[in-house]
Amino acid sequence: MTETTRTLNPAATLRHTRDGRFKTARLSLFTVMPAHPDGSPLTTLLFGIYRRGSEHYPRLALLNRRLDELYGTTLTIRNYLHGDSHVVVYTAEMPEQAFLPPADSHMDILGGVMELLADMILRPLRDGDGCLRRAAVEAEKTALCDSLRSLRNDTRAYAGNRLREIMCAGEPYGLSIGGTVEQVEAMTVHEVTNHHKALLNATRMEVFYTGRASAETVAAAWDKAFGGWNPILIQTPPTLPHKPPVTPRAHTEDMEVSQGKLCMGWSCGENFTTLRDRPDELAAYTVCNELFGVMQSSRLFRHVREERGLCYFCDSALDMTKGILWVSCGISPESRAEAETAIRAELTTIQEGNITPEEVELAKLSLRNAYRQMGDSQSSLEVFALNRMLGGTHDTPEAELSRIMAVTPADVARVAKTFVPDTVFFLNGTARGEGEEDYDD
Amino acid sequence: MTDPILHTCEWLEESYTEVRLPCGLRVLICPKDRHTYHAAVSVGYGSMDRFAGGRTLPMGTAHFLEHKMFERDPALYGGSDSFDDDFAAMGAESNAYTSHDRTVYYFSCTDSFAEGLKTLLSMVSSLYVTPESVARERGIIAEEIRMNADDPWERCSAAARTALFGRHPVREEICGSLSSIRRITPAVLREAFDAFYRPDNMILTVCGRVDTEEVLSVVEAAVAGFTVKEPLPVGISAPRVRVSPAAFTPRTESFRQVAKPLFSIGIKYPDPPAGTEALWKRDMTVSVLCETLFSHAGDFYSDLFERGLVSPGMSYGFLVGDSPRLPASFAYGYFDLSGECDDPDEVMAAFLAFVEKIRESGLPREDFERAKRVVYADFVATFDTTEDIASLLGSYAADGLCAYDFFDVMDNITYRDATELFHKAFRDSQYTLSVILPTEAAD
Repeated sequence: MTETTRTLNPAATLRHTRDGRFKTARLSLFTVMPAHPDGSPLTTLLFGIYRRGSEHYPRLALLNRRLDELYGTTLTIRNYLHGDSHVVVYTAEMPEQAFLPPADSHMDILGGVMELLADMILRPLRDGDGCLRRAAVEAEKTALCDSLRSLRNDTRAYAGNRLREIMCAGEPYGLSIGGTVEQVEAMTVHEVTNHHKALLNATRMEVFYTGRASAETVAAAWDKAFGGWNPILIQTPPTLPHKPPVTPRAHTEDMEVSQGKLCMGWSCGENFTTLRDRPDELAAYTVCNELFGVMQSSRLFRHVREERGLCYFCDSALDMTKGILWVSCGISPESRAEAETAIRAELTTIQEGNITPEEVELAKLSLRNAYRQMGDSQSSLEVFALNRMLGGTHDTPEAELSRIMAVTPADVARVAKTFVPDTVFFLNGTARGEGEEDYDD
Repeated sequence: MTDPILHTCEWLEESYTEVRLPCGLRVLICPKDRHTYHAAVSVGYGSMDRFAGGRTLPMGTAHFLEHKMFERDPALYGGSDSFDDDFAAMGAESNAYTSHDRTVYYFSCTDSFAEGLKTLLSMVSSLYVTPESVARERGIIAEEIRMNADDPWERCSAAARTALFGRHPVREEICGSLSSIRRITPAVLREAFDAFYRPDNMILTVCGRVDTEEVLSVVEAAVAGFTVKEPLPVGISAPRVRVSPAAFTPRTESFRQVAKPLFSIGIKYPDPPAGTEALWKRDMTVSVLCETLFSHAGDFYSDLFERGLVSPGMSYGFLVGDSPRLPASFAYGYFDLSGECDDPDEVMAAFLAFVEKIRESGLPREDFERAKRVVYADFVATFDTTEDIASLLGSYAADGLCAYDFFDVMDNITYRDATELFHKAFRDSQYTLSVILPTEAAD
């Protein structure tokens, strides 16, 4: 496996990994820009419009047929916040040429995929006056509004999202990157067209490729497809840590479902940016989160799920782009107080230093497993590399792992103490589930 | 031990070895140059296997047992009450799942693989439960049931399944219901364990940077203590039920807290053919036919999408229960077409019109050829991770097949095969429409 980097244009960089172990190659185009209350919803809409058709493939069906012709290449889109940055990614996964049937082994799949992506992004559907095609803009606006309204269909994701929005209100990280229904409905075709032009003029694109093709081949495919495009590089300012409120907040919202979702957030006042020169501290935070609520025998799993039988899932996540520790748990609404107390108690015991060397060892082993497995996953390596770039660090997975393996129980207790209670969001289930009465008898 | 059989697929750069041990356990070993080792034990016991030792077990027993198999007697293991402790000590990830026809236990690790393998085999060979731990687990599973009950997509597609099959056990929830799990006791779990957790009803699949001989020697030592049990009568419940070709109910609807109506069109397909090879060809023809008809590159989806009748992301799936273990009268299969829309009845009307058009003009040949490519690529991509490889090999082996034969079978699927299946499956009496409407619509 060899890794190289090369500049494709002033705003685009190729991160190439040659790896012959996989049957499929992976090409991802990450567009990174500062999250913005007006710009991010427009960008979200725009990438949906691109996916509807382009100059050479003017209907969705034609675009999808082209992907199928390219031996079932899949094209997925991800749209998310990375700290205060907004990231939109198109990922194409395509079979390696070596594994095509002999009759098709001549197909230039990579070239075809690159050409299709360039056509979508550089030459989206337009009307005669040069504006983006009105029908596509309106249809995508409807689709985006529907998806915003449908967020509540997934109660776990909805509750987690609400916690983030409430906790980080006023910060870019607290934004809805799709905006609000009212905001999307008010967007005009001229605004969207101007946003498209602005994005083509100034952007930041990180291109990741993992597969059997050489860096030269990938760069040549890029040049052929995107060759005339020369945007200027947009700068993304470093993300600042989230600041906790003076007094912790609590919000409850009712929904007609049978299971409540308890989401809790703590903040530590540090993040990738502030810890750039203290990577050992970052490693301690990672171990702390692992033993608190990630690993198989985590505190939350053992004491909240297994011993108390309160929930099916109860786990934590650490977002060091903002310095936030999240906990998410699905419970009967009447168990809310017990669950909240039990979860807080687990963090408190860690903060008080009641941690055994054995459990720190287990957390480190669990992380070691995860870091080593990263080498087998094209997507994990890609995300690791992007996070590293956006966080401004240069560590390899191996270097990060060696820091993790040096963490002590005292380190874990020290960083745990920096977490202060911030916000609790409870989605209160107001419906009785099927067969509930039988169970309560 | 039977003589090892080496299965190879040279052009795909893949191979694995298969043996059957004297205790009946089948072992598949696939060496692979990866950091990650993966091992899985598949037990031929799923939610539909409700009959054991002369009586019917409560719904959800297989899934409940899956949860309890991780538990062990702390007196025998230095105070540790869970096999998870052993996996955790190696930094391994372990988990399990239950489907309609099997329960699968697995772990992944990058170190101490042999130790993990011993733990996995030890875990599936013994049962330790107490009334207290069963009561506690009931609370956990109740929350899992509530979580599933709150998932509107899951409810919509479960309602379609229920509407297609009148009394078939595939309509039952894998986790059971809040009331059925109250009837699951340590004794029930013991009965299920004794009846189904037999080495000759299990397949072990291993994939990673392993040496076949070394794995076999670890496995043979680990299973030396396996008890070869006397067979008990087992099967699925209500053995007199036959699967009728017609859908049980043509339309169902319910109200939930959703933003927009959800729909699931269920299409039942009748008469799975006899014989493993024929079944396999049928399953793959189903795959190709679904992709031909409902792919996002096809006319049906793009027409609905461009007319704004469905939200992006309409998806299709199919479930075929026709493994050799299943009595012929219980074989079943159906397609499921699900999405979000303003008017489910309008989508259903569009579906019926589309089917009628295909019936008159035939399947689009180009779409059929493209669908074969997509199914082919999807299959090849499975060989990228040790977990997917182990799962694929184990699943095919459970049906008495070698996964590498996929390519020959695929080559032999003709346009005529897909057309014949289309005419058999796409009949008005075999459809159902399941709809979830927003609660506001009930007012």
